[in-house]
Amino acid sequence: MLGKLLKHEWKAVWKVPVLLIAVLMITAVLAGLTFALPVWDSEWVGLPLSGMMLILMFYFAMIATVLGITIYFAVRYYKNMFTDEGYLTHTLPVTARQLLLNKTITMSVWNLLAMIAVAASVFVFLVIMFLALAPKDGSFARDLVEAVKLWPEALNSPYMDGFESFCFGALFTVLVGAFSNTMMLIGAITLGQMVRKHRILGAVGAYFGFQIIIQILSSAVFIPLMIKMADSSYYQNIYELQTPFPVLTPFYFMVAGASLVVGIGLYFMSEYLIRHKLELE
Amino acid sequence: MNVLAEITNLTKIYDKNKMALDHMNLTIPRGKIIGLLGPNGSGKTTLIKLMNGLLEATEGEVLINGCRPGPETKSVISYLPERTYFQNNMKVSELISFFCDFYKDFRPERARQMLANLNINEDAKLKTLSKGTKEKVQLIMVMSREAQLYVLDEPIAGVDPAARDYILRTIITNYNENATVLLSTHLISDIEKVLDEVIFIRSGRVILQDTVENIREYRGKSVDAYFREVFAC
Repeated sequence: MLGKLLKHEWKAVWKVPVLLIAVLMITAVLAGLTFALPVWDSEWVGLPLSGMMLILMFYFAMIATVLGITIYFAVRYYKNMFTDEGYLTHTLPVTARQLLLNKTITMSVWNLLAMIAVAASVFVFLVIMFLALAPKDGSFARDLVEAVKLWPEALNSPYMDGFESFCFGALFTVLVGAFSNTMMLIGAITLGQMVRKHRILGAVGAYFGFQIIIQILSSAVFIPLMIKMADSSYYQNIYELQTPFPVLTPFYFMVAGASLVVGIGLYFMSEYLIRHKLELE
Repeated sequence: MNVLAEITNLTKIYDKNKMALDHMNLTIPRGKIIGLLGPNGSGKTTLIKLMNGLLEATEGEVLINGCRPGPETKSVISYLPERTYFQNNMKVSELISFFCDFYKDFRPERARQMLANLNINEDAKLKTLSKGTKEKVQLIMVMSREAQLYVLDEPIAGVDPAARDYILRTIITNYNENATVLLSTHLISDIEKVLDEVIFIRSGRVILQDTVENIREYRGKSVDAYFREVFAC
């Protein structure tokens, strides 16, 4: 049944995030193309201002994409689970776990896709900008090919010590972040339903409540941990390190580990509430 | 009696100590059309929601085919809520495909036939349909299942008399004879002719469960007249 839930969920949701991502990509291309236009040397201030506006629009489009996708899925989760639409959702012959896994998987994947889309749009913007600004004699392309050829050698240099672990840590953090951000939303909306007469207000309150609790807990856990680590032999010779990666990587894993624990905790809390405390109006 | 649902000591207390169901005991047999009757606020909808697993009981239990509300019971109950509950941006054809995927007992050809009878376009999105047409689509989807228990909450409230006739005809002609239809309403005169049994509810308690025939024979009244007498203000 989970497969069927996922099938219908993806069929129902793909249009809005794809539209937002398409708009983001178009603004990235337009913003990059402004560098190819002779607007920056114009004597009329309106032209460079228009170029700047396009670049600014790209910046806002990045924020709007991530925020838009997050809000879209949060509203959809609330409507599907706790409003009139919940009468269909909760009378399907499926378990509470299947319902919640369906939402968690879909929202986490779209959350991740939104982050990838933002990174891809920045890449597209930079590529177009560099191509526009690069000398027209082909030297830029040659330099680029040279740089790519030097990459394996650069990876072996002492300045890149621990780079692979750092990349793995960063990737792990992003993946866990997509899940824990999703669970923060799902957990807050689900807990908010316990405030029967003010469900939306309850959800918003729960979201900010979670943020505050996590801030307090992470300070309580990480500050003593960091002090302890600073005293350890591993960090005694920190000033002799030639790269920041050995310092950053453990932090990535610690933050990701903590986020994972919080996300899993919120998942089980949400499942318990849906299974035992569901009260549709 | 072949029991389909057993409700024992069922109590539901909402916030602020508002008791919607008060230690209710009830047995629902198979193969009957039963009217769940009571004034507004008597606990009909609360009982129905508890049977469908949409609320948690404060005390007591509901057993359908011997099981508590869950995936097993939801696969044999076809439920029509008192509100429009399908996603507005879905097409009617998408709803058919949705029901086909989740309910093994759903008969798409039956749904398509009923939609065609009412000239409802399968390619239409629900948001483009009038409220009355949406309600008909909902009823068609619910009655196109070969369920063991149809739970219909106020299916004829707020529709015109012609639509009421259509809805009642749909219920009678589409339900399986071994199945039970539990019909909640306070518009008794419209549904009386289709009922086998009635359950009267007041303040969250069952005050009467009897056959329509008995009420007519021994009390010498129609169900509607008897209801008015029992619930006279």
